Amino acid sequence: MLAMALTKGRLEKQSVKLLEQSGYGIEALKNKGRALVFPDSKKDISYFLVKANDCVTYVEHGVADIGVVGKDTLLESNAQFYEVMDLGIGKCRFILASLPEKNVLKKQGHIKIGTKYPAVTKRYFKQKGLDVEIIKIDGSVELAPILGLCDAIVDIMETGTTLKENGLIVFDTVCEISARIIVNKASFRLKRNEIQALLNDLKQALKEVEL
Amino acid sequence: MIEFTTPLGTRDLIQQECVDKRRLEQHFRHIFERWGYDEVMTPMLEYYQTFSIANMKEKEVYKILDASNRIVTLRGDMTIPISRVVATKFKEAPLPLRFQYCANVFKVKERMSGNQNESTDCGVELYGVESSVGDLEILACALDALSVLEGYQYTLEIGNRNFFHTACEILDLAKTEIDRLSDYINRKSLKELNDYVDDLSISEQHKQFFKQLPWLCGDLSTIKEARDIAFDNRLTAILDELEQLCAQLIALGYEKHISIDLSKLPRMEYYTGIIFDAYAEGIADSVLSGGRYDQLTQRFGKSISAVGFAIRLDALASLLHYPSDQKTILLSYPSHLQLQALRTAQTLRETAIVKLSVDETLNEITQKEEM
Repeated sequence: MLAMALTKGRLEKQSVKLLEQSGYGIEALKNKGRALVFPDSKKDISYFLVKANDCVTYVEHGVADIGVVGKDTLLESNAQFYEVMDLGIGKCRFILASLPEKNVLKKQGHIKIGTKYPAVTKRYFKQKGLDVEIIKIDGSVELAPILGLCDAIVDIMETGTTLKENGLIVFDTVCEISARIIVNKASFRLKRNEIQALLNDLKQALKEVEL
Repeated sequence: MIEFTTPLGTRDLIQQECVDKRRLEQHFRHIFERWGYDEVMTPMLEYYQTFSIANMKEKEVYKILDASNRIVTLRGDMTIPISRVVATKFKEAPLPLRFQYCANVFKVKERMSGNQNESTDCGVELYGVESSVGDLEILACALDALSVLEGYQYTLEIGNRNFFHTACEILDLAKTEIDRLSDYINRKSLKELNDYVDDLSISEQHKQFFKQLPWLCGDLSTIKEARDIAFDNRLTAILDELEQLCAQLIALGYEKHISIDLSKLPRMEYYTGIIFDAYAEGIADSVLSGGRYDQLTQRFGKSISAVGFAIRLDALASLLHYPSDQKTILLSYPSHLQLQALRTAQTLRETAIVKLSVDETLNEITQKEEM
């Protein structure tokens, strides 16, 4: 019996589709109703849908053996888990953006960066050897440089439309993001065969999609 | 408003929780005693230097200033203090030395992660016995202790930190490269590992070694699989030793409960040889971990080979429960019969737990057995 945590929202549709392509019985996940836990109709797996951050927490504590979650969430988290597979779905990237005249990579003096992702931002600027002040913002990050709260932002970009509409340009790609399979450390040992089988099925389905 | 809560990552244990934890502690204490381990108690406070010389991560250590402004720490583990004791107080003592402990240790963990900052370790340290014989002894002792998990699925997973580190040495990798690789392997962050290995200037065969390594865990056939990627006879030698060790453990009847993880990397920098962790069904992290650390006591002034392990008592106590098998009697009495009640209770206490209760509605002393 495997417990699998899926991330709600953006990734949900794509991960459910991938499971379906792998031949899993995910009817319950498609017609959710009010249920919270969804049993697979073919395999000995139960799914549940949670927010991205909680997906990591559930896997770390072993309540879920396995989880599907975006790399963006993993990069922000300090949790303990194994990250065994890149599903290649939900692709986007972390970017550094600001108003065209404000290239912080060339700025002299104090730099302020607004972001929802302080850990990613901190690591990126550390690698660049730049000392910056990070301001945590929770929503509409694009607004911050326009109003002068910060010099630039680090954020997720899918299509780039929002940035363009606000007159911001991308100065650098911080890193690429896609959905990953994470596994609880103890489950990796004690349910090794079941997990391995699931990974193989997913790998096979991904290959077929490519063809 | 004043809030009275316990500090982050600490907790109160009450009633049955205490019973379960004490029972387990006694169980392990008894097993270790039978294996010839003497108890050692060290101070909860140590100088920061003692832990920094053993390369304990600075941000994981609780730091306090003492009266003369020296930094003292709440001990982060027991292996380091006991090694200090052995190197400074048993300099001329005949070896081997066997020490056991059950003690609370402190590590600063991430906020709100649900992890404990104060936890209890029960463990043993064996000094002065080389790996060729000491490793088997310590593993057998660990498996003996783990038998408390009978009825649950559990496995003791054995590896050797040298399988990875010797390969890095042979390939002359830089420290930063080794750190990156071990971080990825440790987290089994396979996408990043593959990308990083592809960029290293090493041969395709050697790249395959690092790419395959995270998968070299599982049952004993793993050692045979590992031979395909062991590109140097120093690596093969490590596999030979591990194979022999497992054969001996099988001969002792432990086959069901041992497995291999060659990608295992040490939690602490001081390990030098075999390292092992035990995992049990129903517990999210390892319940026991240990390994060989032949160069730790040297940092405290005397070089002695050493191997040991610690059991995470809190994790096990959350899984194993010991319902009380003792008879409990509720003795009720009206206050004017208190003396008589106390006398009765004294006799009853020889065979049962007696709880006293005042009840003015009664005319006489009553006894009721509690469930």
